[in-house]
Amino acid sequence: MRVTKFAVAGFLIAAGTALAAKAGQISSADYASIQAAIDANPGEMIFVANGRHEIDKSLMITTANAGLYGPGTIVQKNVNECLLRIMQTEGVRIEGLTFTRPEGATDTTQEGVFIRESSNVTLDGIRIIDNRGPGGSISAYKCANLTIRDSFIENYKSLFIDDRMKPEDLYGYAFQSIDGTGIKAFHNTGIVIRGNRVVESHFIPSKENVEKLGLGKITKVAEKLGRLAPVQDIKAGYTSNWHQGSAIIVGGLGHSNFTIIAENYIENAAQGIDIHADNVTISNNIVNGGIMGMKAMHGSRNVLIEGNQFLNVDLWGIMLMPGAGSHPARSQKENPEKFEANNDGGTIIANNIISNFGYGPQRWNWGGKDGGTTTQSPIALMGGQLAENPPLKDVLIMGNIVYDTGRDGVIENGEPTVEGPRYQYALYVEQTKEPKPQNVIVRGNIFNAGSKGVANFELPAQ
Amino acid sequence: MRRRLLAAGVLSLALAGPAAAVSAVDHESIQAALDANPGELVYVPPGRYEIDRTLFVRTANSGLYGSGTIVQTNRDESIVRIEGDGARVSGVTLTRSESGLGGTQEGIVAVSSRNVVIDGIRVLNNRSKGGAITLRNSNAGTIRNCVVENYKCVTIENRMADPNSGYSFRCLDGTGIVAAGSSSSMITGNRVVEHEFLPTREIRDRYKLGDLTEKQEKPGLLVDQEIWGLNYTRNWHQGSGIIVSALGRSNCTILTDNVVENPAQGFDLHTDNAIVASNIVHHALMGIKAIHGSTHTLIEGNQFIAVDIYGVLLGPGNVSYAARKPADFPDAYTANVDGGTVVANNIVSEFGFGGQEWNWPWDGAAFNVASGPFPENSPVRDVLIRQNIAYDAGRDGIIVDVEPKVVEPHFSYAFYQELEREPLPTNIQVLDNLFHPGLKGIANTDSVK
Repeated sequence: MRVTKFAVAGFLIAAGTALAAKAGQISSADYASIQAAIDANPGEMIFVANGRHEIDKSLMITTANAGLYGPGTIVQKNVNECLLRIMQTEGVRIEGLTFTRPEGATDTTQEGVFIRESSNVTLDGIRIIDNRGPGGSISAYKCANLTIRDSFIENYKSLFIDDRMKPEDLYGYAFQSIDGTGIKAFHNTGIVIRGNRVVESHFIPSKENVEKLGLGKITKVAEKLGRLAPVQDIKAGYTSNWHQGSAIIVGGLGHSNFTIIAENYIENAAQGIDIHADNVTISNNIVNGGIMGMKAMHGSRNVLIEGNQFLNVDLWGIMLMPGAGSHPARSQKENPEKFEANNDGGTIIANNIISNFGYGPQRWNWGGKDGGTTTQSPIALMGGQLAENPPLKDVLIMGNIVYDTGRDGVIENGEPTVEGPRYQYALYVEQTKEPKPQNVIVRGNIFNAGSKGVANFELPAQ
Repeated sequence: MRRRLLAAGVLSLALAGPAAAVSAVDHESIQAALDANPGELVYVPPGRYEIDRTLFVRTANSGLYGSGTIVQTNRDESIVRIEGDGARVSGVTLTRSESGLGGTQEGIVAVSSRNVVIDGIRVLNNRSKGGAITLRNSNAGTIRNCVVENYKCVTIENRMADPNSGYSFRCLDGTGIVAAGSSSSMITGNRVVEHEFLPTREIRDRYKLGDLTEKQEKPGLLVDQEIWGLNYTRNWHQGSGIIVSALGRSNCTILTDNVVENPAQGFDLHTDNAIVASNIVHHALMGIKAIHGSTHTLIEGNQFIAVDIYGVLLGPGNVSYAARKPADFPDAYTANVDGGTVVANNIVSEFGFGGQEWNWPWDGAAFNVASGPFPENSPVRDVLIRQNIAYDAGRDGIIVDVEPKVVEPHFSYAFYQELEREPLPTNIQVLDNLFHPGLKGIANTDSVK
C-alpha cells in the first residue's frame, strides 16, 4: 500500500490535538469530558472520538444547533440517568454515535436519548444498544419537526410491573410484564421516523421465560375494579397480556400529528407500530414477529397504512379501534383540555401483505390451532372499548393480501404438512358491539379464507 | 499510534481527521490501522491508497469512514472484506486500477456478519463477476446511499454442468448490489449505473458476445435448438443491478428509492417478503423479476423505463417447490413457492426502447405472469396487479431521422399470463390498470379489462 500523504514530514506535531482542532473540528478529546466539550462550545458540533466513553450523568444539550458526531461509543453506567437529553432547544444533530449501557446495568426506567420541547432535531445513523426499559431507547416529548433516521436500536425490553391501579386507567390492577419501547414519540408534531432497524434479540417470549420470570402474575388489585378490568384474569391471578411495549409508538391522544414512519424494519416486538395520533403515514415497513403488526386507536384519524409487510404475527396484523381514549368534540367550558374531537377513521389500508399469520413467536400464548378467538384476525376493525367512544368510520381497505401460509405446507414434527389457516376470518369488522365501525369500503383485496370464512360478514366479491 | 504521528507532518495533521480519531495516516497502512484498533472505526483521509491485498475488517463494530479512495491493483482480490458484526463502512471510494479489472471478486463483501452498515460509499469500476457491494450470509445488513458505477465485465458464463443448459458462452456479466442468503437487508437510496458496457451491436461484435465456447454432446432440457445449431445465444447480457437471492432461505428485504441504469436485469429477486418501492430502473432487459420461490413480493410505486423484454415478471422458476421431504434428505423443506404478491401503482413506459430491442423481438409484455418451466414447479398464485400503467411511448411519436414519427408498439401485450403450459398461474387479479395495447392487444386473456 502507498500512503502518499505520509511523504510530507513536519515538526509541529507535538501540539497534536490542538492543531487538529484548529483544522476545523472541535473534538471531545480536547476536553475533560464530552459534557465539558458541549458546554464550552455552545451551538457547535462536537466530534466524539473512537473508544468507549463512560458517563454516569446524562449528557445534556440545551443550545441551538449543537450536536455530536463521530465513531465513539458512549456508555452510561448509571441506570437512573438517560444517555443523552436534548432539552428546550432547536437544530441539534446527533450522528453516527453508539450509545449503550454496560452488562449488569442495562435495565432502566430512564429514556435512552430523550428529546424534550425541541424543534428541528435530527438523529442520524446512531446506534442504541441495551437501553432496556419502558422509557424508550429514543423518546421525544412535545417536539416539532424531529427526524430519526437510519438508526439502529437493539434490545430495549426489560422486566417491569405494569401498574394500572389509577382510577383513570379504567383497570385497577398491576401485573408482572416485559415492557420496553424502541422509539417513543408523544405529543409531537412533524416527526419523520425512517429507515431504522428496531430489533429485540435478548428477550424471547417463550413459555420458559414466563415461568422463570413470573410474567403475567397479578401483583396488585384495586378495591374497586375499573370498567375495563379483565375480571377473569384477576380472579385467576394471571394475565396472558404480559408482553407490553412497542417497537415504535406515536401517541398523545389527539395532540400528536403529521408523522411519517417509513422503511423501518422491526423484529420481535410485542406491538410493531402503535399509533394514537392523527395524520400518520406508515409505508414500506416490515414488521416480522410479534403479537401484532400494528394498531391505531384512541383517536387516530387519517392514518395511511400502505405497502407494508406484516409477518409472523399472532393476534392482529392491522387493528383499528376507537379505544377508551377517543371522544367526540365536547364543550370547551366543561372540558378545558380534551374538547376537540379525538376519533378514529378516515384511514386507508392499501397494498399491505400479511403473511405467516399465526406462525409468530407467541402463538402458544394467543389462541388455538384454528385461529384463536373470532376477533383475532389479520385485519381487524373493532367496536369501541367503551359505549361512549365515537365509532371508527370511513375506512378504505384496498389491494391488500392476507395469505394463508399453512396451505403451501409447513414443517410439523419434521414432516411437510398442509395446515388449515391460523385465523377464523381474514377480515373481521365488528358487527354487533356498539359503537360499530361505519362506512368501511373493502375492494380489490386477495383474502385467503380463514377457518370460518373470508370475513365475519357478507363481503362483496373482491 | 503516537509514534507514527510524530513521524508525519504538518499537512498530515489536517488530513488526520479530528483530534483523537483513529486515522489510517497514523499507521503503516489502512490494514495496520484496522488491526491495531479492534472494534474501532478507522478514518481514511483524502488521498489515493493503493492496495494489492483485500482489506479485512475483522472485528465487531470496526470499519472505515472518511473521504479517501482505496484502489485495488490485484484483480484476484476483493477491495474490502467484512467479517465482523456491526461493522460500518461509510464515505470512502473503492475502485480498481487497470490491473485490478476483470476478475471474479467482489468490491466490498460482508461475510457471515450481522448488522453491517455500508453507507454513502462509492464503488467505481469494480468490473468483475462478483457483486460490487455484496452481503453474503449476513443478516440485518444495510446498504444505503451508495453509488456503484461500472460493474460489468466481459466473461464466460459456464453452464456446462447445468442439466438444463449444457454449454458455455461469452457474455457481459456483473452485479451492482448482491444480498445472498441474507435476511432483513435494507437496500435504499443507492444508484447503480453502467456506462461502459452497453449492450450495443458494436460491443457484441467486438467481444463476440453470445458465442458458445463449449458444449456438451447433447443440449440440456431447456435449450433452444437454434442456440445449438448456431453456436450462439442472444442471451449474452447477464447480471443485475440488484439481486436478492437465497432460494427460500432469506426474507424481509427493503429495497426502496434506488436508481438502476443500464443493467441487464434491474432487480432480480429469489426471496420472500421483499418490499420493492419507489425505485427507478431504466434501459434494461427487464425491470424486475421475482422467481424461484419468491413469496410475498410487494412491488409498488416503481418506474420501469425503456425495458425490452419484461417490465415486471413473476414466475415459479425451476427451483420452486411445495413443502417436501426428499427420500434421501434428513430434513424436510418448507414450501418455496411464488405468489401472495402485490404489483401496484407502477409505471412501465417506453417499453421496447431500451437500446436492446434490436436483439429481442417485440414479443415482450410489460407485466408478465409465467408458468413452469417444469410441471412440478408450484404455480404462481394469489397476485394482485392493480393501478399500474403500461404506456406505449411510440404513439406519442418518436424522432426518426430528425423527424417525429408515430411508431407501432414495441411489445406484444401490456399484460401476459401463461394460459397453456402447466403449472398455470392461479388467482391472478388484474384490476384498475391503465394498459395501452401492444402489437397483439392489451392482454392475452379476456379477464383483463
